[in-house]
Amino acid sequence: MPTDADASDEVLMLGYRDGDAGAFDVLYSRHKGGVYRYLLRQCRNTALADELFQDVWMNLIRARAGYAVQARFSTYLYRIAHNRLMDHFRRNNPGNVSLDDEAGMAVDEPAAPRSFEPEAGADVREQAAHLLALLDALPAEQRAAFLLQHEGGLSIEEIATATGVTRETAKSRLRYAMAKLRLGMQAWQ
Amino acid sequence: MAVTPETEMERDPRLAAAYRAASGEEPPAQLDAAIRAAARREVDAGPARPSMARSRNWGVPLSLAAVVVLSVSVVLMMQQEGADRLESLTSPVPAKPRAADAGIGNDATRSQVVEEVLPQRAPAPAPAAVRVEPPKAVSEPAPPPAAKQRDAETGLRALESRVDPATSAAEADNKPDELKAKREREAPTAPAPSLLRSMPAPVAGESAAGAGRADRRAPSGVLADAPAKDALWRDLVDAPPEKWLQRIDELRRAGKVADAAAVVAEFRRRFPAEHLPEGLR
Repeated sequence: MPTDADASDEVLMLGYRDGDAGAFDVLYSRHKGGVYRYLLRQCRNTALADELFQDVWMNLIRARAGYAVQARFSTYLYRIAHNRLMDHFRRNNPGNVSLDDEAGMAVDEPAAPRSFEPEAGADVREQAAHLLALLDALPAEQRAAFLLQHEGGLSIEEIATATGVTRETAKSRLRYAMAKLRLGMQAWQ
Repeated sequence: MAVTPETEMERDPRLAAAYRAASGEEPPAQLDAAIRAAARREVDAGPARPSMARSRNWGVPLSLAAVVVLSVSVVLMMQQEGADRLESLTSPVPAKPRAADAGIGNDATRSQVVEEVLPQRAPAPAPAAVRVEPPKAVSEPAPPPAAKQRDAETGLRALESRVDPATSAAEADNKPDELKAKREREAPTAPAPSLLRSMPAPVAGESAAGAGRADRRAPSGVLADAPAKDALWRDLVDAPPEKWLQRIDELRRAGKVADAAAVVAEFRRRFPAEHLPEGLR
């Protein structure tokens, strides 16, 4: 049976569970970039990102027989990625991984967060580099919240599910991350 | 469109556009190929294994059922073993073989198996046959009444110090004749010197001459227990050690060495602290 390229992620994953290798190709094409960048921005090392990326997908492949639709596929996939990343952090820096603390959240948030507007004709690449620098300066938890939203397309609830925290915690992390990024990008307004 | 703070926080189109412009990284092509190939191999390997989620659904009830069955089995086994032990303790007859061991369940077949099994076992040996001589070796000729009274006075510990069962048994096995002769010599005599020291002070009946050496002399009661045939020293019962030494010397001079040795032995028992001249030894 040919794979329907327009099928939802969940249907594709169920198809792959039942033996449709083409369904996996579609799924992989949809999510490989987002997962890779999520890992790369968090570990900041290309070689390590490659290794973690492969592990994430291999974990998904090995777990295909037990897959059941309990949430959006992207939530499921990014949860695997997040867990693999945390395993790496714990293994290489034990005792210094704080997933639930609110470190770095006490920042001077603007009273009225405003969207920045890139100047017309401004160098888009410079803006992008500046944004990535701001993102890199965020605490890992806040950065993860931002990346999960922008790479995985997850909602606050799904971010909470993927990272194993409460909705309020996920919301707070995302709020602080967005505020810092906006504040940092004010110079480009 | 009015934008609530939360919506604005959740989605900032301009920030998202800037991030998209910065997001061009992709995994290496060879990594893509490797992952796709692994996914295909997994599919080609065969149908998916049973779902772990499904196995978890019945895993917990199955575990609980297994625990219940095991618990009931253990309790039943303990009860059965307890009954068997009680039966074996209260009954003089050897305990019946357990039904579980014999692989049977009802009483009829169990009793049949008992009849079949028990004769095959070695019959329980009689206690007398099992014992290896110690009681016989320890047992001495019946002591005279005075000796019994002495034993009662000195207690069991003194008796054990006189006779070592192990050595006595060995001697009885190896040299029965010598032991018999030795016992015949020792039986009518007074207790060992250590026993004499532990005995009470001399009582009435001792002569005035011997009173001063009462600490070194045996009580007259012990002497009175001596058999009548020991006439060699009967007249010396209340005599001081010097008289005994004089008697020994007389016997030796008369050539009665055996009699002299018997008197010496009695002298040593009665006066363990007294010095025996070398010429009389």
